[in-house]
Amino acid sequence: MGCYSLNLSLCFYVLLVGCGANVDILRRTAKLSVVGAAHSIALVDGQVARLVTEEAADPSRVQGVAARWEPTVVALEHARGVVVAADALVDRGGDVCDALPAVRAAWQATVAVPRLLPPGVTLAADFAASTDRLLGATEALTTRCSSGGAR
Amino acid sequence: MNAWGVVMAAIEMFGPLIAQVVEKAMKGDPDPLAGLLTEKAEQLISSPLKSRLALEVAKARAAAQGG
Repeated sequence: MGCYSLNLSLCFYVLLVGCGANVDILRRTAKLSVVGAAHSIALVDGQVARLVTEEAADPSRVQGVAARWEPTVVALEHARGVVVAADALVDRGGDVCDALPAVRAAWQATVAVPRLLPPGVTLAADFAASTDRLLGATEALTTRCSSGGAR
Repeated sequence: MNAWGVVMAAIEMFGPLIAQVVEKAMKGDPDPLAGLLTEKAEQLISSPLKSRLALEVAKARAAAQGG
């Protein structure tokens, strides 16, 4: 069901961009992708903050908390920085296709965060579902731009 | 893939967003989608990372316990 939904979503994006190709749609979809990345980061950030707080409240685990969570938090900070840069590029004006590599980088940094979670920690399923869908949208837009589509 | 599938995919992906856009439009916003996207990006990007704050508090607590 997940893959089916993902395919439907991608088809929707292809139709959206293919049928109504213009600068406005491209820019808004790029903006939507950036906002989606920021939203995914916020989701993970909230979960990580809760887990760190729980560990810090446990006297038997608090000593190892920095070693366990520092890589995850650094990855989140990096992803947030890349998203901020992408957001600024999308808002800058001019050719929105110039911002798409930054939008892709934002997504790559966002989906990399779960790989840096401490062993044994998993995220809620909605994170993977949301990133897959919106990463697919970013890919579709990038394809459109690289093929010399509407700018 | 048919038209109904496209509609369902759109609702699945953008349902909550569409609802907010409609709400903004009803309040008289001339460009509700652009306004909403900008507003959400600003909210999410400008807020400090909760995880960093939690980690710094945890480090301080670990240091205090170790000391």
